[in-house]
Amino acid sequence: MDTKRFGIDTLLAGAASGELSRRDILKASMALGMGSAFGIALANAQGASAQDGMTLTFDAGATQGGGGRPNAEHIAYSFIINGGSQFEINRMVDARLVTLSADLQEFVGDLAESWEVVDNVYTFNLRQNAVWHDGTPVTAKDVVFTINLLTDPATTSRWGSSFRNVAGYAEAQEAETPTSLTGVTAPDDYTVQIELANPDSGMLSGFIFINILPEHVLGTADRATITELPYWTTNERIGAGPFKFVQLVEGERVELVAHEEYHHGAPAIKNLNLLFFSSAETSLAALQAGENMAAPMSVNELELVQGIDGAEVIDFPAGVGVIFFNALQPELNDKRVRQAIAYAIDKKTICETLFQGYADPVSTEIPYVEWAQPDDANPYDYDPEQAKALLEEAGFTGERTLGLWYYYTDPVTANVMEAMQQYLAAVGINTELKFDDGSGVRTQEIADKTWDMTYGSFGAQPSPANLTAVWGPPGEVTYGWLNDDFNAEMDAALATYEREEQAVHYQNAIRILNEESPSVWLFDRKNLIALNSAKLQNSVWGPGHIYWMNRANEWTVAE
Amino acid sequence: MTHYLVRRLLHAITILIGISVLVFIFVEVAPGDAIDSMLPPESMPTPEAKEAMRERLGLNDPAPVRYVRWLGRAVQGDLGYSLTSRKPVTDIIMVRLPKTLQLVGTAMVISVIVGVSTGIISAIRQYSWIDYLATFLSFFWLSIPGFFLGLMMIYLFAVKLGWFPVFGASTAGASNPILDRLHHLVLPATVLGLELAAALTRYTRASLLEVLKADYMRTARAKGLRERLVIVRHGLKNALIPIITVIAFRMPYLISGAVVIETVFQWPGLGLLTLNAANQKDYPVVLALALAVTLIVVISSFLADVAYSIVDPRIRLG
Repeated sequence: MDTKRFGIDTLLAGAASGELSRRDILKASMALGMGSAFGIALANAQGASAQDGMTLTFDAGATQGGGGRPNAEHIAYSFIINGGSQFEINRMVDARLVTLSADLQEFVGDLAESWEVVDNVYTFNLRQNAVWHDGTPVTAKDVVFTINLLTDPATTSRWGSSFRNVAGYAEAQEAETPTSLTGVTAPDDYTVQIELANPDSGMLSGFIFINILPEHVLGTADRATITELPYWTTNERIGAGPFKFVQLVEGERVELVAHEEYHHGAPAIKNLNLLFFSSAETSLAALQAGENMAAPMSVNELELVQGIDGAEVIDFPAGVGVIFFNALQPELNDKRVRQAIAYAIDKKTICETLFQGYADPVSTEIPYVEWAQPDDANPYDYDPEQAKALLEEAGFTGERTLGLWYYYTDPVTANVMEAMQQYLAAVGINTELKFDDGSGVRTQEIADKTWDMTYGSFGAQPSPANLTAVWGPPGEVTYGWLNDDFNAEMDAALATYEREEQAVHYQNAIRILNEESPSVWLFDRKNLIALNSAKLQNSVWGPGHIYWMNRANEWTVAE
Repeated sequence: MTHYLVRRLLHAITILIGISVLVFIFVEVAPGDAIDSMLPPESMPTPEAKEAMRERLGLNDPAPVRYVRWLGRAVQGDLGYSLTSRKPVTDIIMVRLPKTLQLVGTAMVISVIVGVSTGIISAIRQYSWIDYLATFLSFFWLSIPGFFLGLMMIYLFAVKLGWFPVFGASTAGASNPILDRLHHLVLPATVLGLELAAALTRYTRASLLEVLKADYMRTARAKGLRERLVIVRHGLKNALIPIITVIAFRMPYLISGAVVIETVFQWPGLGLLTLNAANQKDYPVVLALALAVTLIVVISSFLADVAYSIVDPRIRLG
């Protein structure tokens, strides 16, 4: 039997002219098909890199905020300037100036070894042992560059306003890019000075979310288009965090390796693979099969996880569940109606049943920042009769159905929403639940000022300093609520650098929020994570808004 | 033959343009704003910052302008940039496409081998226990949703027995990357392939049963041909035409089935990309994906036409 050599051209020509039999054509098509499938497999296999030493692989999908599973790993990068520093990839690759202790009560230095505030001038002394992933030392110039970059209007960064009280900020907003703040200077390689135009003891909490970027790599980049550089998603990426970027395997994982010169000590884990699951079931199956060391989960999966050998569930603060009000709506402008809503919802029962104990009933913001909490806040314990009395006093008719938005995608939130709807209906407040799928309908209602209520979260915050963003003057445009006493207490707290004095003013401010109820604080929710505790050792998780992998360089994995 | 193929090709191009206009309109009228989905819900960006982003991304131009601009670049292979990752869409798709082709191609091979051979046996041994078993199994596979079957297979073969990996298309740092990839392929391709195989079994059985009753079959047997030859050369070849149609037109089902299977198995192909891009209102990616799927469908129906003309020369003359 003679052997024919087939290519696509000869195949088509042969078929057209009738020189090849149909059997030949079928055989050749099969061979071509199998060949291309194998070729694809081969082509795909390129770019794999060997991983020697201790390896940790875990599902980092839910570390991306929003409560759901956005799971597009590339989003994590591009928005470091516009707000992506909360994504775990960036937290592992980059370092910050200061961060927060795991118990959330104190600021601790990261790149900064120490700092002091004298006459409205912050002076940061940097560690001298910090180096970028390419070996270049991290210096004060990098910190100055990062602040100038983020405050440059050309970058439209969400973090820029953290420096609104720094000398030169207002001028920079009007200047041509690249801008620089006169108040931010580097007297020497390891000292950064920030001079304030107005006192701002809350500025440190802004630094917690800000990743310091390398001036020697990004210094000359055009700031308007800096987020579009290939830098962010390739191994050009240079940070000073515990792990170096190796590669993004599109749709699969991000591979990182230990930064041996890390300033807090070389990580024991040599390879870190961050996965992004679209399905919680698959993530937990991978945990059970040992292919994944940790899987973010919800209370709905508790039973499933309890059936997995060696799996342990841990939790850490996820931010308080809050109902935000649009006080421009006539009904919601009356604080008695807002208070009635607080009394009408049985927070304790919801925490015990729907959250299965992984939430605590609260009535104030940032309950975990203990020093700022007043001890006499009204807990708004469940009291439907009190709620009805307040509504009657306020002349609430209940004729209009109020819209209640929510945006968390997990099934627990969906159940909580239905429960709250029924509790409110029981006291005569009719609501329509509206799920925000990110399609912009809620955003439009906010722009038109026609929204009523949103269940969401202010996010787990490091300090009370940020409360003004929602309940102070910047929040008025959205929430329609402004209170001079609250603003005065916040200003007084921001003007002093003494913790005791700050505490007095913050407690007063939170007491006002508790009484006036411009929002209703409900549940101190927890992030849950199922982990393979038999293998994963020395792991400190959270607080989620600062890190998932806390002190990642000390973590180990048993072989 | 050439004339026939050219005519089919022109049809295909018209369909592609029509579909691209339709998809563009759908994305246009769908509620939502890409800018909102690009930022976390708690980020509270200022309206000015959002407006600056819209302007920079060219979202403020009228729809027809954006469509023509997009089409003009698309024919040159430039499908624009993803709004979320800022990477060229062509690059993103070219990374994902081979993975989906790998999955769908393998599933196709599995389905043809399993489906056609089971169908043949079912037809030849009509009403035997093997026919009943095949009928039962094919209805069983057809009636179970793919994601459930996928999870069951993961639980049994990956978690309990540990024969295959649970998820993904590769393991980080695998010592033999090619074997590792093939190992990852087995489970998802089998789940996807068996769904189509179930349908193919039914079609092959019905089509062959029809042919087996034809006059020319009796003639072939009367000529004294061996039964195997009668079935393969005379029966199967004539039964093949409707089966080719089924295979070709099942391609879109395979691709949409791949969205579910890729999500369950975390397979990094076009399906998973479609899901994420649709959630994020990343319209350059959604548009390109819709076009890519249309292209695959058009190509597979074109190949079906070519295959008809090979199997049955009368068709290319028609």
